[in-house]
Amino acid sequence: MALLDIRNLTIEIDTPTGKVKAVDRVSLTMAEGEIKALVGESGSGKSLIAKALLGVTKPSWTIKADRMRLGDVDLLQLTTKQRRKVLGHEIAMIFQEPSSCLDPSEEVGKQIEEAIPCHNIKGGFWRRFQWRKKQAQALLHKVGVKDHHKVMRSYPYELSDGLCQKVMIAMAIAGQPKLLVADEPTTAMEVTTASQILRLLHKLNKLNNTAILLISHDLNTLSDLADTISVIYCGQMVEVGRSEQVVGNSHHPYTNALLSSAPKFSQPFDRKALLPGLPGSIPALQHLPIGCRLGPRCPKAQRKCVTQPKLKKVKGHQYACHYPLNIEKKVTVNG
Amino acid sequence: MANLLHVKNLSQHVYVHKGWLSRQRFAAIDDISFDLNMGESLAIIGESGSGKSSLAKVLAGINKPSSGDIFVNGEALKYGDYTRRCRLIRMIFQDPTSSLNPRSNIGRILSAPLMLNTGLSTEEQQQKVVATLKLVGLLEEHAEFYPNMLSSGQKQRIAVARALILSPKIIVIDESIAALDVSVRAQIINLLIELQQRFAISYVFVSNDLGLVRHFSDKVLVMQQGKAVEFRPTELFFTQPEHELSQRLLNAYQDAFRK
Repeated sequence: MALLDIRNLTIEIDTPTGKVKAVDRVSLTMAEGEIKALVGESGSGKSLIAKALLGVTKPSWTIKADRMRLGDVDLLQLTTKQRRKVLGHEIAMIFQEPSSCLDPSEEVGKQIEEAIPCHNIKGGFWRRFQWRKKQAQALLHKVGVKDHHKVMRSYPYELSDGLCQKVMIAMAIAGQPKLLVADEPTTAMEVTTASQILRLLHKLNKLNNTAILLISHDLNTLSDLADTISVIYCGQMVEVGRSEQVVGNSHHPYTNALLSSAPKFSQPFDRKALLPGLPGSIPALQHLPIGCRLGPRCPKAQRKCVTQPKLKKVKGHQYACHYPLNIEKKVTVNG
Repeated sequence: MANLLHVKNLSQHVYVHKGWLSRQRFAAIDDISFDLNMGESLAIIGESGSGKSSLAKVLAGINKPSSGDIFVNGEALKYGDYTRRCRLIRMIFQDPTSSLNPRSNIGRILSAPLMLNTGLSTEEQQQKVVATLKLVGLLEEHAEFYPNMLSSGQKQRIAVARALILSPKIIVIDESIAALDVSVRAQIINLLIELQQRFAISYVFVSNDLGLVRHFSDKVLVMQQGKAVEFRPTELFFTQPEHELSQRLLNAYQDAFRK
């Protein structure tokens, strides 16, 4: 049974010019112990989906979904209080920019201790004195911080980016969640730290069987880590599939552009040649084009693209495009 | 001398206060020398805190070097001589959103360097602004816009235009490309490459993205704790990295994650 099952999630935002559909009928399913990457550029609504999933919403948002279940719990039916409980126990989130998400006025150790739930304490009351501290140390060891004394006594500004991210991950896994939502975990980090963090997430996934929803704008670094990838553009899901399907045999022009526009190591490429990329920029939410939202930027767009394409499924690989790439045409043999 | 930019034994020391009277000297950049020819790009890579941004700032004349010289076309550049320096070296800052003044329109942002550094009349300035806007792929009307009306890619183009408007020889780029979205980033890189081919501008850029470094640069400078540990042509750097740090960086990038 799927751990997370979201069907046709629509998020509308109230703006002075009227309601705007920031996320348009997005479906997302995750099995237990799966790593899924949700890839999209800024303004594509990927963070909105994560926030809707956690229930951290603003009053101006209207969230509608046919189905939103975590295991056998229907998230949409819960009261706020019950939702908060689910948040602590089953879903945890790592927010963007770790150094700004930690409380700057408190020591890191205190913040980790605060995140440890008290329901799994065992033994008598005398065990409680040092228990939290020991747990916090164990958590830090788990995420690969050796010098726990120094880290626990320092303030967030004293720690490097990578360390802050590790502390955030430690706080997130304190409640042993089933699902970990990581919002841009490696953005603006240098290569060595980023690969450390990715390895840590992979380890957590393998050891605790935690499902991880990775949210990022960089398709290339995540393609090896993630089992499945969903590509989203302007609130519409454009391609969903297993990692090797999406990266190796992408059907949607947008996925293709994402893959080809970053210069890569493995493929020989003329130095200082012009990079292939999409023209134009991401449309503002108030001026979304009708039909396929990639339409005005798409090199293959034709008249049919003013109607929104439905997600088509071929061998578990879904894509929403009228004129998909890399698809073998059926050969009609005459005579 | 054939070299456009020649940096010799450049260092910058910062004093960190430790208590009331004691202070500790700390080298942000330490004894760095390199050369750069016309129309070439130099990539500065290294771990965070290794002094990449400090070096970029010293080159652009924002910070004062403690010792060492910077020669452009064989002439030494002094700290504080902004009129001469900004016609030779210009800088694009990390974040275009915060480096553009939200209260003045694009036309004023672009004409400010002209007003301060050249003797052009108002009309000539206007013409120059329009010409530069067209050069970076924007329209004449964008001069009336305010920064908040533009998308992040367009803001980055404005930042490039501001650097270009005094037709400098060298542009220093401080990790400004990394923060952009992938599809917009490709456009900006293409723009920079085109400009380099047309006007033979040299770039000095700080980056973490080795794929971009390989694509865009001619020489690579690897920094560690303020020191330059490796300086060699890009081809050689990627095929035979010498220093242990460069090998580590390359390995980490090549399999950022592999199962």
